[in-house]
Amino acid sequence: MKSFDVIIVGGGATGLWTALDLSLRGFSVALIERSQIGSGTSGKFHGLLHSGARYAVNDPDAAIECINENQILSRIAGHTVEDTGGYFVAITKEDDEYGERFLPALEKVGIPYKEIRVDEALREEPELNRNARRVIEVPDKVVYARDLLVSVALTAYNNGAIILENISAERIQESNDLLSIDAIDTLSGRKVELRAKVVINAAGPWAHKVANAAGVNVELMPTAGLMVVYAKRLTKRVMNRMRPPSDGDILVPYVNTSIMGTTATVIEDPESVQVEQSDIDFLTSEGSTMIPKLKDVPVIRVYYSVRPLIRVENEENAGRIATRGFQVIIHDKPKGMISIFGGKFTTARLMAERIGDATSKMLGEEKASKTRERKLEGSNPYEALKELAGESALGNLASLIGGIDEDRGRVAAYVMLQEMINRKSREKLGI
Amino acid sequence: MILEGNILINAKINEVNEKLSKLENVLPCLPNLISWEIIGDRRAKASFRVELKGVPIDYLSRITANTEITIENVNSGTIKYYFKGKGAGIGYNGLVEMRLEEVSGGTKVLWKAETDLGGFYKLLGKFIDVDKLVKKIAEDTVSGITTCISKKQS
Repeated sequence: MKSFDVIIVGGGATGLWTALDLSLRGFSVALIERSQIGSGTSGKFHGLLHSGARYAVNDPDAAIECINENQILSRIAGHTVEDTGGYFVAITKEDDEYGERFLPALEKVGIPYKEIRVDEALREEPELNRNARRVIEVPDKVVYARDLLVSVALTAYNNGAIILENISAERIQESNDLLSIDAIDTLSGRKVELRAKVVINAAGPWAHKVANAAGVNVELMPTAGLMVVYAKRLTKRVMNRMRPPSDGDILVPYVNTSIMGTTATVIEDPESVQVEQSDIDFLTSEGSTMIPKLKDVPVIRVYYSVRPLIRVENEENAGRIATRGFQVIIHDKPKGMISIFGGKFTTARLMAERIGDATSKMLGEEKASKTRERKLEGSNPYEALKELAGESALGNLASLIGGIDEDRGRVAAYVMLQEMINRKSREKLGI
Repeated sequence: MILEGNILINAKINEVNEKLSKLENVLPCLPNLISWEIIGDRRAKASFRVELKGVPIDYLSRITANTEITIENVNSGTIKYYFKGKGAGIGYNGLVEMRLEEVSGGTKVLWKAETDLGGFYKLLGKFIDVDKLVKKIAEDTVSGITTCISKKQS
């Protein structure tokens, strides 16, 4: 049986950043993911690295967190961020009226912005609706999900963390002064037993299943948000509708596509979500209000991002860290277990910092977080793969280096790196 | 859920009846309306944006609700609006009935709203006060219609 200071269940942005945060603090950390890292919600959002402007009016604290994290991630993980900038666009009189509250709110929370003349905005973004009434530029950016998640995993691994894929936690229980996890290798069917002083449940929409495995009852309301991917990149910048946050108000330029999001639909089962044509039509209609040409561009793909709204029974008996947009529950029973629900990709590093603070305290060693300043490894995934596992690990990827498709092959290199981290982690544990 | 109330319009009963009997007069008066279109004889589609204050996640705090509305004149003094739709993937349906009475000074509109919101209670009831939300929507809707109709008269 393998023992660690901390085991994290869930390989999305929250789990991975938490693994990095705690390993940099010097704790022994293992992360187990029942599928592949980033295969859940973290691999199915719209790619926006929020400037926070979206929240400035209704949730200024969240806005401040976003702009801070936007700047931190740009600094420590610049190789995963495209500095596109963003526009907030007023199309109707009501949008204009919202603008009167929007600008003072941006000022108050300290988000840099600039009012752009509409004719200038149209020169910059020729596909913008010519009837736009007002345009405000903000520092929205785009983050490349796979690149960032694998860079976090690699940095965590290189600082001692074990990152295991295809390991599913079946039962979590107290065992003397530790928590023991009975897990299954979903590829081989073999049992894996692990122990830790603290177990962190960061399983996103499946957090209720992990909580149930520990005997904690959780009420889950899964919600699904549709993203529609169009065949062409129509804008340089992120486009936001200037109105209170609602569905269908963000268009993100992602590599050579445009991604429109999102909707909010309460669903029965996070494992199976039906795509409704009416939702696709709705997003296309909303998006084409800002960028009229969008309705003429073919839809190449749609996907749902599942986000849970969770109520924990008897949570008044558990410790809570109240914060914005996510809940952290320190359970009374089993002792040593923490569950995290909610959160945004943009602020996952900050969430992990706070979880790390709480975990550090639980472990009786108050060590400070280091992720705010620590540059992530993996800026060149080809080189990172060679360093991790030798030249032979590149395989066919080696033929891309220095050629026409080197840049297009980067994502494949990150996926290979992810596979290698898992393999090396399994070798270390002998599983 | 059943809600009732009454409101006074400063106009003659037959004029009020005439206005309330046409969806194209009523729909633009509804609060939170995004768009509407007539899709058949006495049938229309409308989209609304609804604030769900109290839901602790931003993407569910304002949702789009798509509704189909059918109008029926039971007799010269009673109009029924049947509605059904979905918001955030949750279905709802109901009936708003308006009964008109001639009074000195104008027309008294006695309204009654019956709604089936089972899905909302089940899925969102733990996070928001659904009864309070529905009451507000019903009151805003009736107020919106009658204020708007009153303005049309003057």
